[in-house]
Amino acid sequence: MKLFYLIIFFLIFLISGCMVVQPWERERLADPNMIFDENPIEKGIKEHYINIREGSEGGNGSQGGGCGCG
Amino acid sequence: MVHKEAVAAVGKKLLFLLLISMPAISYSQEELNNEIQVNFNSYFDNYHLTVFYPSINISKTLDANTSLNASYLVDAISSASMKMTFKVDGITSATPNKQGGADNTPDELRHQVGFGITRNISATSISVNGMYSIEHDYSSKTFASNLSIPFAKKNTIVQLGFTRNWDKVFPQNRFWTKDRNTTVLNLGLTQILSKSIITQLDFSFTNMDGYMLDGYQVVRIITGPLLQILEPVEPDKRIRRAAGIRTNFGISKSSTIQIGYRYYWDTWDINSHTIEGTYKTHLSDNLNLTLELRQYFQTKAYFFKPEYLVPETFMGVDSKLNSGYTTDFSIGINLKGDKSFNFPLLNSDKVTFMASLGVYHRHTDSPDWVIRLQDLYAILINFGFKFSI
Repeated sequence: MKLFYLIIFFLIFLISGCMVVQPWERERLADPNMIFDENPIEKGIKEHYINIREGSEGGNGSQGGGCGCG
Repeated sequence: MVHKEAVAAVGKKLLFLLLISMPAISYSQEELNNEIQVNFNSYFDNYHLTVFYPSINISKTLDANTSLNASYLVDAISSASMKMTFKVDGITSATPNKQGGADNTPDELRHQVGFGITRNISATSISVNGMYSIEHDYSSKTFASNLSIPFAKKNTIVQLGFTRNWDKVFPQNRFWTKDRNTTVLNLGLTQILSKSIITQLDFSFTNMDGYMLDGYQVVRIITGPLLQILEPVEPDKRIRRAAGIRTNFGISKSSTIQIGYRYYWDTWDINSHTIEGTYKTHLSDNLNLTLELRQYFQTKAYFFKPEYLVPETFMGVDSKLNSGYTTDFSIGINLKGDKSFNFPLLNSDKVTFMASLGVYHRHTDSPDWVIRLQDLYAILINFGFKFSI
């Protein structure tokens, strides 16, 4: 577990020193394909069926409902 | 001395909270817009389960900084697992089911409605959502809020999320109603790393208490000629944590690759690793292709056993508490309409057609408690339309 915390710390440290990309330099980043969870509705539906069948969830912010006992 | 150790322990917890308070939930890069999205989703598996779940979502801007959204979804489930367990419940003299499960129709319907508002205040975005879900043996109320704050010319976005669920469980083969309450805290950080790389750190903390079982499952204990049918018993508290990172690489002007990893751990001793890869490319100005591959590994809950020889304090038979792995592959397309197309609906540039086909395989290290299979194979077929209004 300590290793895990170290990895998180390292990642935060790593990204804290990255370059600033100016707004006019973001043509690639503005592509819809670069968006995380471009379609949150589809993502929420997928997360719902996965959460019902696996023992893990979280880390994604999507919401669902129902007992999943089907 | 004891006091110093206690202070040190608290200090470690504070340090950990400080570290995790920087990372995040899903990053909403989306802009406020006016649209209607209609989806038709379906699920089929070799456990004889079939689900159809159409949904409609509407978002409408009130002004330049405010947007409302509403959604409605129906789960229509045929051959739910409870249909099989009712045969078992006959042994326990449980109340016969009159609708949804024990009879041949309509098995089970779930209705879900949701409403939300998003407000941009300067560069900060705040959203509040409410949701209600009801089926014949389960209800759920959800409140969710999210705060998104950009820094460094929007190169960095910090997100904070809070979700609370109030669920009620009232299986038709039992005589009680039980509560399940869930609180979720999401923390996130999205960071632009270069002109073509963006990354996201996510952390979620979930506190669940109450009844967390599927009310239709049973534990069978065979002792010589005697067969005992008992209700599973699980701890009524569970703390779940997940931390992940995913990074999008723009590998060319038309293609991207997203790679992600998530680690999950909880107080029931389930640990899991999830690895995901997504490839997206513009095949033309109107057509987009997405390929996704996901691999998942998990350990079992500490009280889970494939078979119980004697009644125990905690007994769980649900396959999702078992150790095993899953593989998930999907292919999808997005086709943006154009006036030059000769197809109905698609001859408008305000319409986007979406379709996907997914294959899901779950392997558990011992057979499922009722189907007695170790491998679940499922196919998911989805399609939908998005209309700009």
